[in-house]
Amino acid sequence: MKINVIWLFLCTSLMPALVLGAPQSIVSADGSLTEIVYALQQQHRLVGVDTTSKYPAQAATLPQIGYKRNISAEGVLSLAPQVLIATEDSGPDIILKQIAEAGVTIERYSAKPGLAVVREKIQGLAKLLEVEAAGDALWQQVSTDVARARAKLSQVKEPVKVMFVLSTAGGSVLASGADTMADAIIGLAGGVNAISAFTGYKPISVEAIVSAAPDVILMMARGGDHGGGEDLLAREGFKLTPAAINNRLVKMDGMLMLGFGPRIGEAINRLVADFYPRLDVAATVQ
Amino acid sequence: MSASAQLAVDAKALKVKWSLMVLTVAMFIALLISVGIGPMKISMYDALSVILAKAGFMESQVSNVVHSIVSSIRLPRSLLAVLVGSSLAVCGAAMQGLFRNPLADPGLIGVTGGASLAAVLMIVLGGTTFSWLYSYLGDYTLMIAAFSGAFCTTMLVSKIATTSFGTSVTSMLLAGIAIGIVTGAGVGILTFMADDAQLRTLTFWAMGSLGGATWSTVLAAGTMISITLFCLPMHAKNLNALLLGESEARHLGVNVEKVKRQIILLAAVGVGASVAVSGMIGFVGLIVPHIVRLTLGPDHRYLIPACAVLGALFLLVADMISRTIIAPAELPIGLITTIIGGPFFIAMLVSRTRSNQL
Repeated sequence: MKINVIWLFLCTSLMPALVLGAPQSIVSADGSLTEIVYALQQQHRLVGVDTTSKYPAQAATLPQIGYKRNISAEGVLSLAPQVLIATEDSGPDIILKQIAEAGVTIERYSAKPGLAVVREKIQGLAKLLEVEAAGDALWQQVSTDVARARAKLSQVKEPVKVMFVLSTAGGSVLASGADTMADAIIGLAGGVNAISAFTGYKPISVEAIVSAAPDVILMMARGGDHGGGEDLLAREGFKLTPAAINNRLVKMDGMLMLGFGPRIGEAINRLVADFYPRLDVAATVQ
Repeated sequence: MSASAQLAVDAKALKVKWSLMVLTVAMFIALLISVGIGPMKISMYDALSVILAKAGFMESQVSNVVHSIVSSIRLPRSLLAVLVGSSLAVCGAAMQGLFRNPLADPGLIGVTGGASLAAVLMIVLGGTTFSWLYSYLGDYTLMIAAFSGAFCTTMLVSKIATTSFGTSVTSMLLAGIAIGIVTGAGVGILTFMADDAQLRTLTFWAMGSLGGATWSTVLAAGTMISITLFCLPMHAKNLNALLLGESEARHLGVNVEKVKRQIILLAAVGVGASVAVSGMIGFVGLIVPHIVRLTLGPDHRYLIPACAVLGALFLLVADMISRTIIAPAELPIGLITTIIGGPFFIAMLVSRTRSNQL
């Protein structure tokens, strides 16, 4: 009996040391998580990433597990990771279950937009990788950046109306309504989403663009049909908006703007500068 | 029957027997290879030892990860490829025989339309309106919904086409097209309502995948598909008689109405179960029966079993490509069957139109 108790004690005290050692091989199924791993200087532990992991550029040279919502069980297992890091919208769930059954730990983080989620992702990953100090420093840096933007925004009397255009391919304009990453980042950068009548990204009519009367058009900087480019402001509907009259088209890299990763402070500050170019910077330095 | 004619029949039967045997052997070899290859480097010997150990023949000495990949990922997936491949090909052959149209496929009787409408309904509204369904059925909600959708639309199509004079094949074709349009509109409305994540899910669902294979899906789909695979060959002679025309078949003593109803029911079960577990995998039901007909002739007694084996072989090979070509990522299997199937079908059409055989 006594021996049993000692055994039990030994096992329970030694187990965590064996099981919980910081994972040395990680597969990431989300671009923002990949960015955080790089920002924490732990990229040597990454053995595979998904197609949304495009920043930093070196991440794209790692083995590809495919699109985050369509990963393959054996593909991930073939990279022999100890941990798969993913967000709530990575999947499919049935595949994640198979991966977990094969002995890989799966760490999932929220996929919702918001600073709280960024913090949760940074500190969660830092804890997982056992670099808590670096995690706290990274979050500190992000919150300092955000505070700087907020200080600037405190002088804004009339927020700008911003319309986020996802794509103009196929003739129709896909704009962001409420409840999207774009809607959240517009809010964080002190703007007001020009469209709140629907949720998600939906096609909108030319007249709806005119009546929304955005002061700024926000787009992702990428080529091809999605771009629309500078001639977008000259298009029917857009050309009647205040945005076109004052020539205010803002473009930003998609992952930087909508990734909700460690660069969110930079994204917010750049957007604030674009939304409110006349803000007196000097006044906020104190 | 003259002696020479008898000889020709015997030669034909021999050719069919040999072809079936070769195909079956090829399918089993493909099945073994399929378990042996994948993005994970596992030696053929290790993979087979897991299977043999599972069957109780030997002790397996492979690592846990290898064991779990072979026994709970590759094996169910390969078996599902066999089941879905044979079911799609056999149902395609039966549809073409029933409609006396070489272009007929299960989509014509509303199976695929109904399945996709139900599947998209679950993907888009599963989190809200139908969340109670998820709490009962869990991971299998989508599959059960797709199967029910397939089954209900097929019954509806068949009901529309049936009058007191029996089921008209022409009205059935038209009803199938009409229902296809209606379900397509439903899918369109739901697509419009879908958010970004749901859009991605439903796009991938429409491209087909065997990636979700587990032992329970194999068991569930296998039960349904076996019914079709066992019962459809019993209608081979009736389908042969139907090739001559409906009234001719009636004169030969075939209960045409009953046969039609049963074949449609069996196809709805087989294809419904396949679509439910693997999404949309195009072209298998179209090209496999065509290849068999070109080589072995139109006799359904040989056509149906040969389609079952060749369909399984075709899907096994397509799935191997799907898993390995861009590993560790995966190319949707529906794309592979269409990429192989499309050009093949066009080539066949061109050569047959030239010789006026179609």
